[in-house]
Amino acid sequence: MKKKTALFGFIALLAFAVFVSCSTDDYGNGAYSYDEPSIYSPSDDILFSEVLLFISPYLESEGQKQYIVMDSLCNLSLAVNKMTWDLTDSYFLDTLHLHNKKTIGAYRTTSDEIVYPVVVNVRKHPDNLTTAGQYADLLLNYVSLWPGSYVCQIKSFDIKTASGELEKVYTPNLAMPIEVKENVTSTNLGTFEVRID
Amino acid sequence: MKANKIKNAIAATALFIFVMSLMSCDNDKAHIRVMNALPNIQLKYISFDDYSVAYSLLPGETSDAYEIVDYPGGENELPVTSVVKFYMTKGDNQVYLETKEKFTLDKDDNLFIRITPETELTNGLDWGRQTLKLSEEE
Repeated sequence: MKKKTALFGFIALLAFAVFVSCSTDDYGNGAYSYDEPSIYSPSDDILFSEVLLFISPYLESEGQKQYIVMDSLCNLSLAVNKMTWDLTDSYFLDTLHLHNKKTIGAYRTTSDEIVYPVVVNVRKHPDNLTTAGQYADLLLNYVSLWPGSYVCQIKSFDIKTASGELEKVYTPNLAMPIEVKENVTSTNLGTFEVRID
Repeated sequence: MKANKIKNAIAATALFIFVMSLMSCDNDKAHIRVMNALPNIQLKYISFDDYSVAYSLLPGETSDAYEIVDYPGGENELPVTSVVKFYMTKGDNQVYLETKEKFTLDKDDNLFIRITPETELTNGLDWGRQTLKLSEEE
């Protein structure tokens, strides 16, 4: 009887520990850093500052992948440990010189693979700082993306239709780990093909 | 005769020193103290006008009263009107700040300035940003 009670107590304690470790408090003050020119640091530490990734949105037509043609992919929303970074556009692409272009539905497409490179800056510009409390908060949270493991989610981005209108694409299944290493300024998350329905 | 002369000279010197000391005691004084009422943040090199009020203030700490003696026509002439300037520091990171408000310290004043989270501050680069913002709006 005593053994059962002890076992139950141990399991309850374990469950509580797991619950506490999974609570949102663990995410701390935010997995990003600030870019504030008035703050000076004599430290020569190289801080992590950007994430590279490549997005390749495509349609399926007659059993073949047709990649979306646009000058840039817009408003990529990326969250690290639930903290959303600034929206970012991809590099511009020279779509004029792409081959095999055709219009499918509302989109310009090509059968040649297209990847849109995106560099997401982890350094946020703080809002206007006017009070001592705001400056103090900023100094306390100036760098919060220290070396370690983080969960990265690509939440959404906008593609352009043939007429140039933006269309939001949600990507709830795009989650991956980020390893922030010491003295490394950026990391490549890889290439992600996203099917547009 | 010679002894009398020496006595007179000593008396005159003593009188001069006495008068001078009386004059210096007559000068008005004012005092200023600054308190760091910011949690978890250290303030350094706190100054008021050209006066270095304190080297460092930990959270909740108040500086000793800094005395300014009034020398009319001299460098230290009261009243003095100025902002409070300091470095806000956390670890290696530091930022230079000034209060937006100007404080006036007059004769016989005991000025007590609290730097709280609500105290409005400015940094020299703010001017550059404002100029940039204006030119963007144009």
